[in-house]
Amino acid sequence: MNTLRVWLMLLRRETWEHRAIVLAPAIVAGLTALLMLAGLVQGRGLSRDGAGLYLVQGLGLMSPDQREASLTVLLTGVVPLFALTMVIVILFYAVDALYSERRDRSILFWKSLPVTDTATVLAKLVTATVVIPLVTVVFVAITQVVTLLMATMMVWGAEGDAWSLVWVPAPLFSLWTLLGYFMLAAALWCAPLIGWLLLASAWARKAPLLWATLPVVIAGQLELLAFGTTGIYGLVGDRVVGVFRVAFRPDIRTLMQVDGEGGVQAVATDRLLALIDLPGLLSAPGLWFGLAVALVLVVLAIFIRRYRDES
Amino acid sequence: MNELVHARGLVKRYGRNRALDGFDLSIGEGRILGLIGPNGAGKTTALKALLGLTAYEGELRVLGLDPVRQRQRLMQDVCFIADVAVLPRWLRVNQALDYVATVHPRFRRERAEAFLATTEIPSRARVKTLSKGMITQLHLALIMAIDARLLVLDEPTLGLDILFRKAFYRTLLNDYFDEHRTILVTTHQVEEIEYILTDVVFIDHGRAVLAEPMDTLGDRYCQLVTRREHLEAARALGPLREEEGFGRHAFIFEDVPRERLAPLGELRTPSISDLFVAKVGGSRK
Repeated sequence: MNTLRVWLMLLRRETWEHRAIVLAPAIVAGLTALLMLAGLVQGRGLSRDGAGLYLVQGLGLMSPDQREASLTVLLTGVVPLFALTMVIVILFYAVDALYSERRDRSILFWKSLPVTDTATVLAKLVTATVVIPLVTVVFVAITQVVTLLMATMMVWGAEGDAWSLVWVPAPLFSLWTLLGYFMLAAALWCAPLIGWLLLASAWARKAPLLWATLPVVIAGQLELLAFGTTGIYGLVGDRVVGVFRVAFRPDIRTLMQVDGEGGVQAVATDRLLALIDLPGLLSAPGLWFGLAVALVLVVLAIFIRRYRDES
Repeated sequence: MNELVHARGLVKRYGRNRALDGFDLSIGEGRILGLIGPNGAGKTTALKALLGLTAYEGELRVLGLDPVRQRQRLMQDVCFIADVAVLPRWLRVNQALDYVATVHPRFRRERAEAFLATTEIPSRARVKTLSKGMITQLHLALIMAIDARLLVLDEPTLGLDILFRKAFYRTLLNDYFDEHRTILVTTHQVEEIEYILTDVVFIDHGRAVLAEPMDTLGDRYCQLVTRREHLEAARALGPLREEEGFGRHAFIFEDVPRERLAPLGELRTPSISDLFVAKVGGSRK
């Protein structure tokens, strides 16, 4: 119980110092809402003969499956922007996490309290792999609900039935489950990259971002010059985007598929969740190999924070 | 007497340089020990060894614990202020209280809040908006609210003006210190803490060159102020140091019986700073 309180405090401390964890997705959510609102006003979405009419007519003509597919595409449309923001936030967070306390010399204050180096570093790892994705998911969910609220206003403007046209077919909980799974899978899959960033952050006396990137670029360029191959770049790239390959069934693209006449292909709810390939993820050797590498890197980071003499 | 800190023959090497070179230290419970030395003498290194922040060779127990291997356990009973500027600039006052209250089992939040109420520190202010004196007050509020057995202060008042320095030590002595607490402090401003110390240790070139309780200091060390006619007699007794000013000569003697010095002039117990110059100054011309 007490351990849990301490852990929650360690995670809160990270959000105090790195306010971008909450601010960045909040700003993206705010801008997205503003853009949608602008679109709503522009398209006279609230008037009887405005854009809402197309929405009501379009959705009204669709089969329930098609309606659900359209809303899925609409609601997933905001995800890439949040995902990109999240990648940037994680990158800068992880690189700064064990560096800033040495730069401002506050490390001696933190070390004067009975918190182990292991707990400190692990709290930063959990922040990068779980807290930041979780915060992002929350803001994605909020944005999706806001999207549906806007659609509701448009449908109401055209005197349509928002409940049956918008809310019933919107697979919110499947989407959120899928998103949560994706975030968790991505965190596990990207763990060695995050471990590497944390190690650079613990190691660098200056410019941790350079320490994190330069060795990889140098090694990659040397490989390219010597052998003409891109194995190292490929390996890093696969850690960034490879999670789609291992954690989902290959037919994930059907989500976005458009048939010949411009209609959206149906994707039923059970199929949305059926995209999850948990056995595939857990049986991927790359996952376990990556986690082993991450473990080594994080242990090194703990070791450096524990034993390096800061004088 | 319960010995809280026990160090024998501590050695710390940085390359070929020895920051500690056979350093000994013993601190009993309820004492206030001043560790005094010139820059680069090894003060900070010694404190870091004590706090488990650096590896060392030699024998060292703090509260009976191995500071490196049992560091987390040690930090429940030991507090330290390493430097005035050490609180992170982004931290808010109430966040600092929340954090320490949660992670430190011996923190008494109401005590810290009561002390902060006597200052002009706003409760939601960020550290970066506070003056240097206020940051020290905040740090002091945090650590004074911890029921620690040993408090280590490394130049805690560096860069503060005289009013803050005086208030700092007054608070420490009146509101914090009691017979169950022990304080180890290093500072350059020896004169200001002289009256609160119970023990003094001089460190030079990584070694303790003097370690005495304050109340027996006068038994071993003696300052003789004399006139010209006794100069040769005084010099013959082997003083540590001789100083001349306003036609008077001041000598400092170590382990010379007072009755042999008394006929030569006026005797008194030397101040810590005079003694420091006599013991350490000679090796650093």
